[in-house]
Amino acid sequence: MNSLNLEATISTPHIQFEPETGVLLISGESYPENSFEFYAPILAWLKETLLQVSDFKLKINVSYMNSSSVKCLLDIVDLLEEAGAEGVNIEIFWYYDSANPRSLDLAEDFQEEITLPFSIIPLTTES
Amino acid sequence: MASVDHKSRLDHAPDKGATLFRKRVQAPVEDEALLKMNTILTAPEHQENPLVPYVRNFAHKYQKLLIRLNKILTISDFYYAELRELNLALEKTARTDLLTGASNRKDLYEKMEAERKRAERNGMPFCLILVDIDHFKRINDTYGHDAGDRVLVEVADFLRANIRREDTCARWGGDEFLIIMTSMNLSNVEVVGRKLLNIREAPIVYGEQRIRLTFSMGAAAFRNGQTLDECIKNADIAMYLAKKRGKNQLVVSDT
Repeated sequence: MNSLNLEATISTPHIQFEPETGVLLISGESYPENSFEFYAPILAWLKETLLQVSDFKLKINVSYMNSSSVKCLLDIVDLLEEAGAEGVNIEIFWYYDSANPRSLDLAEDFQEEITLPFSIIPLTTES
Repeated sequence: MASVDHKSRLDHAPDKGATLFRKRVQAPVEDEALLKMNTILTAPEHQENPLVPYVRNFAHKYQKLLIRLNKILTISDFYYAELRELNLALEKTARTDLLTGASNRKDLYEKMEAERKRAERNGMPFCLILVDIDHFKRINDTYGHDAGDRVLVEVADFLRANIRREDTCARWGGDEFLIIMTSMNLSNVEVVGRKLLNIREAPIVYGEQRIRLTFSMGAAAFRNGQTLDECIKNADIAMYLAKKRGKNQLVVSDT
C-alpha cells in the first residue's frame, strides 16, 4: 500500500496518508485553478487503496474550499461510502473552528451527505 | 491599578453568522423534470411497462444529482459569505485607528478629498475641527500609558457620539483628533465646537481615579482653491492659538 504525502501550497491542502495508521489527512485550504486535475490522482489512489484496507479514517481540517473542491471532496466521500458498503470500516472526522458558529453548520452540511460514522470535532485556538 | 482593555476596537465588527441566514436544503422537490418522471412512474397505466424499473433508477440518480448540486452550492455560499465578511473586516481595518476605533488618516484624507470635490462642484462648504486633549502628557505621566489609552478611547467615543452621522472623526495623531463637518459653515461649526466644550464635563473613571478633561480646538473652513493641507494647517494654527489663550476653548480661523 502506497503512502501519500502532498505538501500544502498556497491554494492546495496538505494531503497525507500513513499506511501504519490508515489515516488520510486533508488540511489547509483548497482552491486550485483546476480542482479536478488536482484531485484526480488522489481519487485514483484512494480507489486503489480502499481495495487493500480493512480500516480507513479520513480526517478533514479545511478552512476554505472553492466550489470544485467541494465537489471533489464529496466525490472522495462517495468512494468511502462505496467502500463502506463493501465492508471496509470507515470513519470520518471533521474538524471545525469553534470560534466560528457557521463552520459547525458547514460540518453538518457535509454530515448530511454521509451515512458513515462521522465525528464533528471543535478546534479551539489552543488546539 | 486597573488595566485597560486593549482589545482592538475592530472587535465591534459585524457579528459572524449574523449576516447570513442559512436554511438547510434537503432536496429540490420542485424540479419539473423530476415531478414529470414521478408522475409517469406512479401512473396506473404504466405499472406493467418493463421500462419502469429503469426509469425509476434513472429518476433516483437524477434526484441524487440535483441534491448534490444544491449541496455544493450551499457549501460554496458558506465559503463565499466567509470571504465577504473577511473582506469587509479588512476594509474596516484599513480605515480605522486600532486603538480608538476612529477613522485613520487614510480614511480621513479620502473623505476630505470627497468633500473638497463636493465643495468645488456644488459650493457645499465643509469645516475641520482639530481637537487636542489638554495636558495629555500629564495624564500619561501621572496615571501611566494605559490610562492615556483609556482617555483616547473615551474621547474618540465622546466626539463620535456628539457629531452627526455624516461627519467624520479621525485620529490625527497622538492626542489629536480631526473632525470633518460636512455641509457646514464657520458660524455653525462654532456652535458645534462650543457644545463639545460644554458637555465634556463628566470625568473619565480609571480605576480609583477620576480624570477630568478639557480640549483645545481649532476650526477652519475649506475655501475653494485651497489645498486640504492648507485647510488643516489653518485649523492647526487656530488650535495652537486656543492653547496659547489658556486652553479649554475653541478658536475659529479667519483665514
